[in-house]
Amino acid sequence: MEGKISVYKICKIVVISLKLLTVGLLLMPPIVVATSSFNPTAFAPFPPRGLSLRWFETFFGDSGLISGIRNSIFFAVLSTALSLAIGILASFAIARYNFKGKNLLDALILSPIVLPEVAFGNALLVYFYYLKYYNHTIILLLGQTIIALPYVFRVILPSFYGISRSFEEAAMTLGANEIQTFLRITLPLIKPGLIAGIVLGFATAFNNFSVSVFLVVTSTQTLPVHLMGRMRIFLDPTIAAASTFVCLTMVSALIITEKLVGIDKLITGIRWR
Amino acid sequence: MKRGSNMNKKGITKIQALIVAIVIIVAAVAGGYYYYYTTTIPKPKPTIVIAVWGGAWQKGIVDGLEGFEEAYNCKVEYFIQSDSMETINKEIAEKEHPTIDVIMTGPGNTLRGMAGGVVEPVDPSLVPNLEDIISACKLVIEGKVYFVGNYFNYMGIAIRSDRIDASKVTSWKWLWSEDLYPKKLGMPTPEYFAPVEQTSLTWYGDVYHVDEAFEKLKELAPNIGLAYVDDALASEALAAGEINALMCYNVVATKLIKEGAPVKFIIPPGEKFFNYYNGPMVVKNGPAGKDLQMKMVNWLISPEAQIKNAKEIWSNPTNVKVTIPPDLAPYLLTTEQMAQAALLDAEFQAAHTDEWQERWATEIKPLLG
Amino acid sequence: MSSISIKFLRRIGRLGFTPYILCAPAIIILVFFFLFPAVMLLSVSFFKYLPPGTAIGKMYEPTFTLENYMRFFKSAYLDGYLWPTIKVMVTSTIIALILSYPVAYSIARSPPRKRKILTAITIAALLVGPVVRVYSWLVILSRDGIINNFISLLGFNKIEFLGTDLGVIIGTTQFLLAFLIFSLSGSIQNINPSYEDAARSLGANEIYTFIKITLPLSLPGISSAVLLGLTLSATMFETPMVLGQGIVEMLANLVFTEISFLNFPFASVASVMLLAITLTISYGVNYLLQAKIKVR
Repeated sequence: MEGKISVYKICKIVVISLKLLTVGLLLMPPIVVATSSFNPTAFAPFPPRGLSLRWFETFFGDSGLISGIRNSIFFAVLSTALSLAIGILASFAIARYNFKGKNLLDALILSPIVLPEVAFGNALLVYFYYLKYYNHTIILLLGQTIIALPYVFRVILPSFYGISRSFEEAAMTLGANEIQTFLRITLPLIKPGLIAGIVLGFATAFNNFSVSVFLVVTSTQTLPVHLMGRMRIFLDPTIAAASTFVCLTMVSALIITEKLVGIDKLITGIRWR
Repeated sequence: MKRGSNMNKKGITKIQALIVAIVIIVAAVAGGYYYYYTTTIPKPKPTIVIAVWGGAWQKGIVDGLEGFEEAYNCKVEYFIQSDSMETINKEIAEKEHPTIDVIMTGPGNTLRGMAGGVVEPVDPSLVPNLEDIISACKLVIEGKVYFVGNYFNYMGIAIRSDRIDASKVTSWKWLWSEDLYPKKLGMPTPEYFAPVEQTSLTWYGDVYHVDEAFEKLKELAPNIGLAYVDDALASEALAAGEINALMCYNVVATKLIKEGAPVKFIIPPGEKFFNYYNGPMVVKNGPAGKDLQMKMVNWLISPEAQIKNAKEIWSNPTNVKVTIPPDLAPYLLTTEQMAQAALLDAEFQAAHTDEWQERWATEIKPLLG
Repeated sequence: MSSISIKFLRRIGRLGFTPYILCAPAIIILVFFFLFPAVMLLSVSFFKYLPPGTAIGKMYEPTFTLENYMRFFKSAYLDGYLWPTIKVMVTSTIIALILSYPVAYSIARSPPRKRKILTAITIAALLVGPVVRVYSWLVILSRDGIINNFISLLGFNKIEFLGTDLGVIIGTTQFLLAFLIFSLSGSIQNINPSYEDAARSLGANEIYTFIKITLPLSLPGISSAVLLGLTLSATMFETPMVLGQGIVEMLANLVFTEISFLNFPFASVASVMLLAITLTISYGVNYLLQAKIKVR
């Protein structure tokens, strides 16, 4: 009896310390970045020596950085939406049906992650010029979608496995057709996977450098590409300020959305006849 | 016969449908405008695109190009690059339809750009300022000038003055001393520039003693704590105290010093040091047209533009007609120091760099760490 | 109107075409915009590299040669790039998996308030951006950084993080954490908690429930997370570049280096090698775990 309790307690302590360690590791970079963005000098940014808004001034004054953020958001949102649409359909097919070439397709959708982005970006650039296709907006969109797709797919697929078919079968017995079932039963059930997919896809597309660097032109220059260029010779905390700003804005946007609308409602909001 | 469906009782209300429709229309229109604007509407004035490095390097060029837009009635767009080789690589892929007109880069990368077929030689008839540029900063192949520099970078040793006594650094050979053991020295890799040339220069007087230089580098290996390609990494490592000394370009050190870091930059007196120069490379068939491209090069290498650029990045101008203002002088090389600069053999370097990188990877890298 | 489209869909369904139609967008976009460029890349690895100056306008000769592969299979590249890549990939994925599972479980099972806080923290970590993130690790892990200062305060010798495998693994693991947490929490959330409640009500304690019920049910999620971790860690280059200080490098760094020399053939070889090891390890993991996952 005594033995059992202490094993249990040890496990509990181990698990809690693992959780604390993980949260600590997750938070270290954002904290360092946030504090260095307020540091008065560029040298020795951590621990912070004082408070200064100098780098934020530089950041807001840099029109390239601002348009970089705007472009990044535009392309990330679009490519996440596109890869979500493609990924949901494909994972539904793979989870629910047995068809020839299923495993091959599974591998195919996974494969973009496996190819180094730098090689892929270069290959894609050469490929489009070989095809004589010059619409840079579409090119960048395609590149980011392909990069985001495997992540979205890999996160949504297990969600489909996780829900029982009987929900769908019950709905169909009650008279719903396939589309209604899909929209009102299946999709809401995979909500957690969907949210995870949205976040991962967006983060991947937004932060992408190696592919985007080959595909951008002046008008579509994204934030990571601009940042790398800016810090070419010297790591100046303007980048930290930019990063802190973006991070805070996104998290606040998410919190506000959550409070006002509730992420749950966003997904089941529209009902169909 | 379809049974009535329980699901159909709550339909989509009219207001919800209206909102969804409005959102979709607005998104489509906005998306359409963005798409259209960025891809098909031609620019009103002739536009010229120049690829520059960010931060102070961008500002230096922007300041230098003051007045250019008015003088030639055009618009200048800046493409921020991190590694100019990436930009050149991009233009090679875009050979049939380039998107960039002028790329700030160096002679080695220009040679690679030539291999890719994207370099337009500088036309002396359209670029009269060309004859005022020191010959050490022009890349001449078979009589044609393929690249001209508008500023001059030089190498030295940056040290943490709070950990190293600056008076001990009297020679490049100091890098091999025990002061930097173990792993307290940062070196650039051949992929970036210079370790082979500088070693060869220091111990054998010229850059051509490659095999001997590699033997010397093997001796240096225990001191090496950082092998870098990116200046940002080098300056950050020095600032963080990971390394105490660094073989680097002057700019890396000057920036740190200006920010109050305990760093000193030393050019060992009387010894030859490696130099490099950067400037505008002209892209063949650039969208702005050869005329405007050459005008930009001419403008950038003019004395006025060079001084404005030098003020931002503390690198020596290459135009002999430049008089250096006294407040800038302390940051630049003196004439005596300029004489110590080893003449860059860009062709030798470009032809052998990847072979040196291979040797670094196979002979030196395994000895590190 | 919708009943017409339903009839049409049902007819397609009866013919067995449904899965193919659902997968069509994925197939089209991947075959045309990924597979073709990738095959192009593969073929370049067999071309002959021409150093600059050999021929104006040509960077490689489209013939068939194995010299690039021969060059790769020297110990310097195998020990210097291939082996560190495998080491870092496998180690960081395993550690990240162990660390992220508890937090993922918390996100999946906790009451809304705790869940939202944890989610916000994870998202914040993801949005920092790869470059700034890795430089902040440089500052944290350096000889004068907070961790070493803390360690020496406790009286121990300072640990050398940067320029060693340890630093790169720490940086990579932290990068993987946020991704794995999201991946795992999504799938854990879909495990019906009543299974666990049932087990508990039948007398099993938490440890037993976890090992016998939760863990097996979360295998698809774990398998996805492992594959995600492996593939993410394989293609990283900023982390090894900054934290490895040029002493510890991974294959992706080699690809970048060779591309900057315009040596596309050798860069392709490095890419192909990276592809090969990622696929091998992924298929190995997939095969091991596949037996336990069924189409439900």
